[in-house]
Amino acid sequence: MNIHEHQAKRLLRSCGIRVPEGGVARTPDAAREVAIGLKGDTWMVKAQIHAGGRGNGTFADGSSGIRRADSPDIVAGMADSMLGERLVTDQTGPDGLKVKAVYVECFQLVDREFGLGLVVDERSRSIALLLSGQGGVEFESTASRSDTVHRLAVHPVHGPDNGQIEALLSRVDLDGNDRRGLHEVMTRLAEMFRSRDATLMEINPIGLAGGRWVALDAKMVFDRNALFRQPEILAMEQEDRAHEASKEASMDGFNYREMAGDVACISVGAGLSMATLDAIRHCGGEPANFLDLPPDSRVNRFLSALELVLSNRNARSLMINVFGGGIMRCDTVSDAITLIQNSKGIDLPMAVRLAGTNARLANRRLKEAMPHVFLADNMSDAARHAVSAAQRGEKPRQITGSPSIMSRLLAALRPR
Amino acid sequence: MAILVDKRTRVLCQGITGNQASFYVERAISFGTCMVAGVRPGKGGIRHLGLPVFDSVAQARQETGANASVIFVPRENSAAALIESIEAEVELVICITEHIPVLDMIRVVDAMKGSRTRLLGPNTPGIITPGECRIGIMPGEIFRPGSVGIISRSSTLTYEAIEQTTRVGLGQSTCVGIGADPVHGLGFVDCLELFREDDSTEVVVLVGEVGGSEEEQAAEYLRDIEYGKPVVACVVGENVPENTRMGHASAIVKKGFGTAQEKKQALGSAGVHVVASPVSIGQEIRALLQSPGG
Repeated sequence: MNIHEHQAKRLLRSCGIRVPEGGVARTPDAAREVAIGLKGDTWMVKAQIHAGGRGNGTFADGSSGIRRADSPDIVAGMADSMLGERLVTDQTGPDGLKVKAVYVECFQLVDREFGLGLVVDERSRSIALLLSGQGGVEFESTASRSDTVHRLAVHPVHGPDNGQIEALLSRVDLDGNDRRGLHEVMTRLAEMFRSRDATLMEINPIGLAGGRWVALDAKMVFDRNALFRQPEILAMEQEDRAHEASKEASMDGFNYREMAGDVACISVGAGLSMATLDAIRHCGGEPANFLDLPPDSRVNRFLSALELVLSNRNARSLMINVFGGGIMRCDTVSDAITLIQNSKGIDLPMAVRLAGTNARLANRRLKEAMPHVFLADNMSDAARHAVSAAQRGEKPRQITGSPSIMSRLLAALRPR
Repeated sequence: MAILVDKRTRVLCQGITGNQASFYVERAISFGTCMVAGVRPGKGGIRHLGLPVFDSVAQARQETGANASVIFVPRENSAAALIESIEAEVELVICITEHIPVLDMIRVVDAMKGSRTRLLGPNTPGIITPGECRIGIMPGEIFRPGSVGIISRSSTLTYEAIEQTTRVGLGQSTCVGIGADPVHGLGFVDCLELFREDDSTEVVVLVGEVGGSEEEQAAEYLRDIEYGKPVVACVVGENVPENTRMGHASAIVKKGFGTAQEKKQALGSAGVHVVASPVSIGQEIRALLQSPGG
């Protein structure tokens, strides 16, 4: 789970790490007010999105996601040009992310910049503490493979000991008070990382200004699986959600993501869902979505999933690929399909592949209730059929789903 | 022969009184798995599903000689349950629970240093040696004893590989789900080593997916060793967008790192027979075993 820079800086401040004064704004006027309320005569205006690389990122007008202003009116103007626009960085993908808020903070002049970070390192199955002698160096994907960044493994229970941190600091050019100061920041950050269940924390760059360390940027990612014991972090997501809803969240307990193609698909289990996308592409088709249902899904959840994919205007065919096992039984799937068919009808050609627990029963029921449905023996056959049906498919469809169903689904938008 | 579990494996279940645990333990018993005990702190002394229930793993182990534990404990307490079985020196721990905080798993992995415990999972469908021992949540109908060893990150794709190998009449020696979480116990390389030593395994199937570096590590291992058995692999997720977590916590491509293409290439250059889709696993193995070179 990502939080915004302004939230991350609030956390840093709470554990005694210095950050520039600043405030959040969601309108140009509010941005001007924030600037007026802050001391100084130069401000930074920073787009708040859940992705890094903002300084080098660009808006459609070519301007950057982090800009410097020397009057409150310029601050307001920059906020105006950012808010509501999409910022593209090397971490957002080509579509970029829409900016819903800007963070206005006092410009901080620094003598030197470093990079500091902590990250869960999957390969070594440990926490890595990272330090770079220059600020702004890319950390996130370099945890395992960069040699420009100095690193050490942090003990998951006791944290890094002083000797370890000293050894790390000895690899950059720092001494005396400056070194002691950064040592203290590293200790505090590592403590917060562990106590807050973070998976990534970056202060990059961290600047040295007149002998004091100041966090110029901050990025934090938290473990969604640990939110049950992190109420304060969870609240940050909700505070954010009050202003913006993400369609990328998991809905009603399943993972859904809209994609650009026309073959809708439903699958159970992440691995099989990914294989389903691959199978559609192998047959020359383009998936309209990714939808992964958890293996303990009952009929209701399948109904929601079916309604959701059927509401996608771009879909021209539907592929269902399920391998029943454990609690997941194939007749649950066939029941959901026939229920939808009987209540409102399914207007897409369908290819269904059911295997594993109760597959024979489910296939028989489907064949009786819906003889026109293609029952595939394996996922390649299903994909081939769905793709060719989509390619034959006619004009964009009329969406018949009632608005109440869609609003119910959107209301179900919530973190897992 | 098989790897990790066979008919001599004596299994206890942590969290046995839960709904899911009860459902799967009952199925394991009917399959013929040697289930010997349950553990549920505070409920020691009762019997559940015909098994004695103990307050602690150490006690259960002492009383019943259990040497493997399957964990269905809710994620809030999973790390404690894992560490308890590590401290009780259980030889094989299989953690079915999913959504365990990653820092908890780092603590568990740290607790395993120097211990004799092997861990499968978390977020694993379990392990099965057809005809001998089944631990976990895999469907029972699709297996058949045979000569293919299967290792997979994804549960559903494990089933897919099993069905493929059953359909071509080969069957499985042991099927291992290593789990889909970023920080977990036994990995591809550990299981490859075990299958290499196992006489009943003639072919190994490796089912990978985007994200992480397990497939690359497997490729590294296979490149540097005379493995002696053919390895067939598929890697799913070549069409997932970057920076998008696709269901599994570990299935994420970051800045071009961890792509399916990269993994397939690494495996291919290490002499692994890489198939384009899980659907081709069966045919590929049959072709391999029929070809004179093996």
